[in-house]
Amino acid sequence: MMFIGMRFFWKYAKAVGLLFLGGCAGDAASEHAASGEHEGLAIYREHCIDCHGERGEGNSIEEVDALYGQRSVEALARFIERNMPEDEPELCVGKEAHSVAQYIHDAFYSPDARKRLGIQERAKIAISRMTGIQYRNVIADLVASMAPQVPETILPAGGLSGYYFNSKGMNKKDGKSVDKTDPFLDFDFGEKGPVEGIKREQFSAVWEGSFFVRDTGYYEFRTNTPNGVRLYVNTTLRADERNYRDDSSKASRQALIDDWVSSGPEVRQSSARIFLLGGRRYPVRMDYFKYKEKIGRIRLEWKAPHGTWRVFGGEMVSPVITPRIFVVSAIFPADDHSQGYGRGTLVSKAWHEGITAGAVQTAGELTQRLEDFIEIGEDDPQRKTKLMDFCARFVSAAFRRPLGEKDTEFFVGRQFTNDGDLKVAVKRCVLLCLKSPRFLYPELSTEGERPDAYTIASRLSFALWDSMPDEQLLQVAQSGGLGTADGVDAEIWRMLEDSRARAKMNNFFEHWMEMDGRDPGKDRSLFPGFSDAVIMDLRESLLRFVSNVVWSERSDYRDLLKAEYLLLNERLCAIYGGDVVGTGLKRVAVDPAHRAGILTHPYLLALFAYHDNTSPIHRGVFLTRNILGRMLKPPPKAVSFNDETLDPRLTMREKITLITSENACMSCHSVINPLGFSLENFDAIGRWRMSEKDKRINAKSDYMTASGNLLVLSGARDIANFAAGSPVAHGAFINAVFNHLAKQPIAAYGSNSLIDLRKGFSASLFNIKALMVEIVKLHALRDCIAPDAASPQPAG
Amino acid sequence: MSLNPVFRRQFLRDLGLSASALPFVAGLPGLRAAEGPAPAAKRLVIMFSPNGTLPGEFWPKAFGDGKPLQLGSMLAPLEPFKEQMLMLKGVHNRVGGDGDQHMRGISCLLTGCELNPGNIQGGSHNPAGWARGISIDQEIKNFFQSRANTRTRFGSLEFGVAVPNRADPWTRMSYAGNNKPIAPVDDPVQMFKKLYGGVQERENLASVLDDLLDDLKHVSKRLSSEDRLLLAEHMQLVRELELELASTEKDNSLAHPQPEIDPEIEIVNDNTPKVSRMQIDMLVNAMANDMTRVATLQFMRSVGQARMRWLGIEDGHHTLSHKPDGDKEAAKKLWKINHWFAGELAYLAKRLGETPEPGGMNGSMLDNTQIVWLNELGKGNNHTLQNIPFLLLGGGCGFKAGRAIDFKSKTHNSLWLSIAHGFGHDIKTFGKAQFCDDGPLPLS
Repeated sequence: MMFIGMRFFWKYAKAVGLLFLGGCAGDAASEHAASGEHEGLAIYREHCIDCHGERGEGNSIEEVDALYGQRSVEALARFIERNMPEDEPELCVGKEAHSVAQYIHDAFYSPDARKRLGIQERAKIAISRMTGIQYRNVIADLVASMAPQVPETILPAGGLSGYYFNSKGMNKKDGKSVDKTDPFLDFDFGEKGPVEGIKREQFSAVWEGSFFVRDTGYYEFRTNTPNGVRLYVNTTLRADERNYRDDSSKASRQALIDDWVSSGPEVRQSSARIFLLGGRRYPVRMDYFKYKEKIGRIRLEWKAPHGTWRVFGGEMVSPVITPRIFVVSAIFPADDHSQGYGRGTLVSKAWHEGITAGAVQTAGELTQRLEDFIEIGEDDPQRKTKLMDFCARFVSAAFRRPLGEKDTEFFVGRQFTNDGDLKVAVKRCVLLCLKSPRFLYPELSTEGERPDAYTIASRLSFALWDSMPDEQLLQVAQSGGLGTADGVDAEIWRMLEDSRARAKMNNFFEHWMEMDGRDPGKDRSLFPGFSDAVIMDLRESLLRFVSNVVWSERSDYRDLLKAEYLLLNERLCAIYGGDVVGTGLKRVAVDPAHRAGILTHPYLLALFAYHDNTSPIHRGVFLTRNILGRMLKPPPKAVSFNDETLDPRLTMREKITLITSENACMSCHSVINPLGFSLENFDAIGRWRMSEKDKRINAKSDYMTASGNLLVLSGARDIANFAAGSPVAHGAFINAVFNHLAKQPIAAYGSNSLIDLRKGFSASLFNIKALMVEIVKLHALRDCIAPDAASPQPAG
Repeated sequence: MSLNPVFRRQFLRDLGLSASALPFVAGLPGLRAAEGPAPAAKRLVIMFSPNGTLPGEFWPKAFGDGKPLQLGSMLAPLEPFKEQMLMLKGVHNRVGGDGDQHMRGISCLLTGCELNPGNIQGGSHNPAGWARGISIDQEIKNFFQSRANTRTRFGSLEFGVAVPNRADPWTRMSYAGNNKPIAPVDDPVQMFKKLYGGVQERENLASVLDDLLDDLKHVSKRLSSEDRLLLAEHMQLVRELELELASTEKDNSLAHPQPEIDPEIEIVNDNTPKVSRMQIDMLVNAMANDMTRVATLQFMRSVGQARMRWLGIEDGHHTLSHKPDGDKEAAKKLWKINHWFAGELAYLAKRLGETPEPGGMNGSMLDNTQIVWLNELGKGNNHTLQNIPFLLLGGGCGFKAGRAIDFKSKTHNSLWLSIAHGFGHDIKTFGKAQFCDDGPLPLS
């Protein structure tokens, strides 16, 4: 049995403040008009007040949201006429509807009215700790910042460096080496040598370089060989350690997979997994050797989150090694999502355990790899001083601001007073620092004080990267560069180019398109071609498309909705048409009358569908809420979509029409259904279709817009065009991006924030990057009376 | 450095983790040594040292019942334990096949079966891979773990001393099964964490909690009253942690407090004597707390090249073991080396002997622990797998001790059958079946 599943609408109903009125009738009006009371008040008191409250404050028990907003009297009246009272909208129409709308508007609905009443905006900045992902990012960047900085260069892509050696005797390297770049780690040397000049009987090889990952999560690796292999992932690699044939005496470097010893001619498979942070690049090395076995063969495969096994290599891989990135493996509870976006407004025992374990792990990492961070020997006479300096530098970096004398003494000096092992002092210092609120809370603003330049720097980096400021940003802060709006602007544009900004936006789109936590998989017997590999490719296709749009010059939001192409590869073309050859994704033009941007991307069409059929309701709800930005109430009663009980001759559209036909349902389904029906030309895996059960698909429907205009939809493109020009849709998109970046409600930034952002968005021709800049600027400069006032002020 | 004395008394709970995550939760086997006069726990410890012995120094002059055991000077450290010792000559490792003598010496030693064909080339013979079967320590472990009254938290522990960080048939003696080598843990700090759950970190953490609370209070003062609420909750979590740390210390004390371990010991050659004693201390403590009844203690590895500077020896051990019999200089050094190993064994026996069984009814732990000291070769310079120097010590299997026996020519599979039977595990064969024809060695 499948539930239509509209319970989850609840949490979204609060975000913008649309209205649902209770009862409304005409009789009461004239009765009270004579008394000098507003005619609308009488209607309101008689029929609306029970649910909506005296001042429209709503009713938490029946989940009626506050009646606050920015619509015009006319828009309110139209809405009331069509929808209110909920079950009998025909009772309050025409003059009465207008009258009650007028009253509501002037009495408490409009911003002016609320100001007059002294009703405070409910939205406030909530003090927040770092979210789980922010914590992991910050620790990774913090530890990396302690090592000597490597100048950033653009890395070549497309494979790993391969070094091939002859060997002799007891598995000893014979010096002679051939170097080349190998695009993929899948070799069948057969009975031959691996490359010209390397003998076949015994040889060894090392492949090394780095790889970039987009998603955060567990990555699995798998080796297949009848010979010997060791795999190192995210360990510190040094060029002079290349190719230990039979020895790896470095205790500090643990192989992720060690399958060095063969067992007869059988091909052995070994696998292991490792947790990695998205938007970052990791070092990798594989050592291999063949000794007298008949066949030489080695294949390295990997599996990303949401992915399937594939050969390691390709465009995410570079032949240049990069430094290890320290990834905290502690477990964090899910962050609060009650407002529709992840934020750090709650502390819990599980969270505290996570940050405690994280602090301990970090202290271990730093003390184990001290020589990677500072030049120091066991017998260094300056050892204590050097370690104290190191700790002071660490605490300052962790607190994201210069350290005053008192704080240096408290966090560093005091930890070194005992005559004990100095490494223990370093550990204590790291533990104290990483458990301090100064580290854990991106911002601890003093009441009534303006944010200083370092606070602004942190706001910028957390908003754009979910991480701490880098060295350059702190330098700009220190030199007063964040003292002007232009200076802040310049930094934001620079920071946008960083891969962490891309990772954060990628994460946004996964969330906005509800890709996290839904399964697009289908019944294999009905859709045999819709394999895990196809799903993986489609996911990649969608995220790549979105990313290409966002990070292009135009960065045009409307392209997301209206694009007339799909990114497909050979495997996808076999299902969705096109003639691309190979595994790489390429643009394939689509019929613009059929498809439009993400609205008809097969991944989303499959995501919002049943395992065996389309789901106009899931698709319609997604379009209503996420694309068009309209509110939906939770369903008044839970109705399950029980396919077996319905006449099998009915089409999906007919079934949905039938089961949602009650008035109580239609207050929402009159919006949802037309949108969902207009995508009925796409089957459950997003293929174009003309008919269902030998009946021609009817994708035409009448859609009533939020402002009460009738729109005849004949397919996805009509929705795309409408959304691309709809201020409500723009507002919803802006709001979602805002929440994701700032992790605070937009209303807390002033009542006109959304309107201003929307105007700017429109003026920039819907440039998403420019929108991000404006959002981040608004967030970063909050409470700066004049931006020019933000000057560096060291703490302590 | 040793543990901060302020916190040493505390046995603190795992960092910030709730009590349920604690390894020593009441009710788990291994929490405390058994109470009351239950039959004593029987235990097995196998100690390995590499590169053959000096047969002339090792074997006693007289064998057989009624002949008092007389030890040569090389084994002098074991003199106090003579009455609990049993030396077995004429027991051979007959396993042939792929792999050189060193590889088969160590990887077939506890398994009694052949190596898989593989890619690891020794100094002679064909290349080879891992052993094909389970080792005797793991066999006994599985037997113990299969029964409720002998089951322990770890089942077995594999200790290493100066074992190089490499995985090949020269470096492994314990096997969980075919192609399943078990790596010994040669870092005492890592072993300490495994046994006692990161005590150092907990102590470090506990030591900063006061400062942390001060900091939270200090920061709180600057905040608005509303923001302060979250920090108050945060502070509450820190206080809870403090209380948990203190209360779990009380609830979960061990019957035998954990040994003190230098948390910053460097795993380098010259620290080997220190590491060895730490490992032995932990081995004894883990057994005293009944966390395990089976342990192996592997010194270096077969072909190991330890440079025992602490004995005034600069040469690598394996190189020395290749010197001809007439090389007096080398023989002197090898004597020192094996004398040192005998001393480590004596220390292990002493520690076990000093520790009474719980309840005081069953004698000392040594009375119930079967120690087997062995080597992958009979003699270093001829790589023989005959006359492996098997020295049994302690009372776990109820063998008749205080003597040496020369079996002339028996397989070592027979010895493992005796050991298994000694623990009540009546298997008919162990390792390669054809080497078990003679049944267990008569040792009782």
